[in-house]
Amino acid sequence: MSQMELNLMSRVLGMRMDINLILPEREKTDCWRVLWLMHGGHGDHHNWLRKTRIRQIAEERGLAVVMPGVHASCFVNMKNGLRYGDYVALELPAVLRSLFPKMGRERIQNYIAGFSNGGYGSLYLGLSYPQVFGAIGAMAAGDQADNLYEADGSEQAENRELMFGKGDISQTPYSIKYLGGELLKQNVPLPYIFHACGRFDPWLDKNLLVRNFFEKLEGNPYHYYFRMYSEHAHTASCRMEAVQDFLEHIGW
Amino acid sequence: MIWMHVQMDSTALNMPVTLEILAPQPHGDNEGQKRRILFLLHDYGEDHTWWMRSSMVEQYASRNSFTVVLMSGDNSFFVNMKQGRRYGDFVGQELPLYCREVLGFPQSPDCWCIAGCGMGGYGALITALRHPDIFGWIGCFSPTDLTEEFLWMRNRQLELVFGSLEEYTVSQNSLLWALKRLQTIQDEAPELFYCIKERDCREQQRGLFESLNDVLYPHSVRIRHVVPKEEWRYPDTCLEQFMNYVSESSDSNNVKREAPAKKEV
Repeated sequence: MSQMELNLMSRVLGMRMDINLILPEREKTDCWRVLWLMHGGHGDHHNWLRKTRIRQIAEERGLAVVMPGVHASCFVNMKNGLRYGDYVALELPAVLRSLFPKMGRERIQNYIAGFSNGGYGSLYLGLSYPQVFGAIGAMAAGDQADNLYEADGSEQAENRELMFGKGDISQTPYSIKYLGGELLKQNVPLPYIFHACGRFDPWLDKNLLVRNFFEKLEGNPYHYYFRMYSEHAHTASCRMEAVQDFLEHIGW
Repeated sequence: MIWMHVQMDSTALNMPVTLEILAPQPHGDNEGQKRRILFLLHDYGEDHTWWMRSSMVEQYASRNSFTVVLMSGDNSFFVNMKQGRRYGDFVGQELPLYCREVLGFPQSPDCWCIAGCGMGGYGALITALRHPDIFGWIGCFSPTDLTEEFLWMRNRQLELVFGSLEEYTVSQNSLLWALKRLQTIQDEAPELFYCIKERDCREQQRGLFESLNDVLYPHSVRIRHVVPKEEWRYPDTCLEQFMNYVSESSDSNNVKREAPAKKEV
């Protein structure tokens, strides 16, 4: 395995960005499977490397792993900011596949996962760009549309407005439930969804709202699977177990 | 340009290594452009960061669409040390394989360059002469001439790398050995771009160049007398001229084998 930190110019964002990569260069294959890992709310492109054994996991399974940093954007095309969603889902795959020809290009070779805000980000990106990602591993992931919001001029409110705008967002593309419903109306392949959360997670209720939405869909079109960890909270250990379970679940 | 800070496990060196790689950022304007890769070797006492600190390598690489790979040789002269690690195998075999596998570079020697200054100049020469099937272009900037006895008296490290001076002269790490071997496979000889400082016209440097020229003729060999504005600009000036030369030569599709034996500029 080799590990790389890349610094590149993003035309979508208009600035240079950092990414961490793990590459299985000794794998005897012409095509790498790629796991796109999204960091949490106070994290960056180092987050998964510092807090988990992702490198060992990637080596055992022969995976390439891409870990982009997206500042504090929740991986979305911000309402009043930059288009981080397009950067991660459109620009980065194009740049990295050109740089590393062995990176898989098909959606079944590109799966996305994340923890906490990264879990929301993985759902947002997987449902917004179904042509790119074939499966989603959403860990401790709630829907931003379910978060309480009050336009009270606080720093929290301002950050929320930068990302999603003002008012209710339940009927906008920032809502996971809205995205999940809208995608069913399009004639496109749907991503598989693996969703996991610890029983002692402080945002368990938000996770269950997402679970309830997907489990009510007739015929389970997203092959939605939910797992609750009875011993875990919103912790690094939960993240570690969940990412391994996700990879097992999808056969990687 | 994309800057990659790479950590990999080297089988040849039996330890993890760090590389810096500068690569042209893929975009519509440069699609289909010829890809070239340059292994850039540092001087004695330095490391993989030296060229980034001592030159405008990123600007030259961007202008000429090069991917540049910077690695550490740890005072080994980039050879398999007599008492130490196998830096020759690392630079000449393992790293090219890594770049082909990961970055998708073709095997054609016309795409592969190696260059260096001082110890790196020596390393570039010995590596390319030992692997003419990989490297088509050599940039040699005032390479260390190891036939100079005073070097061996001054630096005990040389014995760790090469053994004694007597052992060196008959070993596979000597330029003489590499040149003799190359004579048996002349069709594959790389192009040589050789820089010396105008002030540094020691007989030994010219003697080294003449030896190289005798073997590599009739392939094109260029010698440049480099006169930088300040002493510290010497490696930077050499690098710029070398990269421009490779770009212009290969883009104009010059038939290398018909070029004159040497030209002094």
